[in-house]
Amino acid sequence: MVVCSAARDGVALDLVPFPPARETMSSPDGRWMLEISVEPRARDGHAIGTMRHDGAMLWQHRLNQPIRPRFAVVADDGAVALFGCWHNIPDDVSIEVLDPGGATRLRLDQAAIERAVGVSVGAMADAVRHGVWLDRVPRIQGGQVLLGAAGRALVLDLRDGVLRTAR
Amino acid sequence: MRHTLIASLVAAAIGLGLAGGAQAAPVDKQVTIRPIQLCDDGGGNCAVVNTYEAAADKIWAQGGLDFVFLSTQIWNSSAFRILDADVGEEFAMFNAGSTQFGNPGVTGIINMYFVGDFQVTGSTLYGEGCGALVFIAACQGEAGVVINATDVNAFNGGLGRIDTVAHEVGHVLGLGHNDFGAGGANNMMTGGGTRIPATNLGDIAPDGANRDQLTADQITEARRSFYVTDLTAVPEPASMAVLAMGLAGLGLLRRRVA
Repeated sequence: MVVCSAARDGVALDLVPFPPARETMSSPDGRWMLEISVEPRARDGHAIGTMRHDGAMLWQHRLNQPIRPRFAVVADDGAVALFGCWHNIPDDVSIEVLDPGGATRLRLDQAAIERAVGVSVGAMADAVRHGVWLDRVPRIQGGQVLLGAAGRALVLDLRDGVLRTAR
Repeated sequence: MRHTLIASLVAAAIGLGLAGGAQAAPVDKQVTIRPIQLCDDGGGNCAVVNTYEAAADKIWAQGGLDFVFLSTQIWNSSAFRILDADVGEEFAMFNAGSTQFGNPGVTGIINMYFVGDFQVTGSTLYGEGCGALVFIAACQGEAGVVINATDVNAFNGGLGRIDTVAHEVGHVLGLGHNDFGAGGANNMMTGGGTRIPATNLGDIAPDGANRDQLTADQITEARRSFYVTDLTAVPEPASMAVLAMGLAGLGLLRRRVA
């Protein structure tokens, strides 16, 4: 027998929704496709990332972010930018960029984000819409990612990892 | 002049002893909690009890509240060690627990059950808090707190989701996820999908990243709760030493004046 209760809507519960079991992101030209898959009930789990180019699998490995990255974007050259982690905890891998082969090209931690934005992560909370610091969903534009924090537009260069405020 | 200086130092020592150290507000009320550890019928596979008392005390110090945990009671019950929230199994546990350990609505003591797992479809479920009138329908008239000991303790690589206990007691004190100013990422009562929990004591408001904040409205509402009572806890040993020094100094001052 199922008991229907308003509590199942989360009124007095402390819960975090599972991430999608599978999510796919593609490059703007559609040739690169990243799939992120996760076992939701795995308490110590990390997601698996699988990259395909024109349908052929190029790499597949465990991603570094606990549970899974909150967002991922793919560039037309196969570079991948991963943002945050699912459970709203700050960690050393706030932003990670992978090269087309799946290897880590660069990592930016919480301190790097604070330097770019000019405020502490704690002070960013009022504007947060996603995770610990993002105020908008990241999106790819050429070799850069457009994102934002604390109400300020930011640009991440995928080649050199420079994170700066947008002009 | 000298006697005035000594009197000031004595007063400060007494105040420090009574307050128990730096607080966001003077702690003048308490919430009393009875931890209950769920084991299987044979007394094994017990949930690991971690009350996260230091975090809870610092969070609720914003509202002048101290959490007092009584000694942990053990309950051998395979039926209640693993709970399915989709079918409301926790309410049956609250009901049976009220008979076993005392009815919170009568005793004023919050029964806090540490279980091996607490599952709901589609989410990781860390806990639930029932006992406030505002949630009486949602909680089917029952009172208690359930903590998913496994998921709470495993959170953040085993460091623990340190604000869950404080959050669930907040529900018992009448606070929801979006009322009295909650809803922002840094508010302690905001729902788990949006809230950014402090990961260490140094980031709990008013310090560090200023996480797990309480608004003035939340504090006012919580302090009205039936479960909030006058302080009756015995001070910590360190505080007792400072208090004793202050009282000894007061005795010295009186002799000098005489």
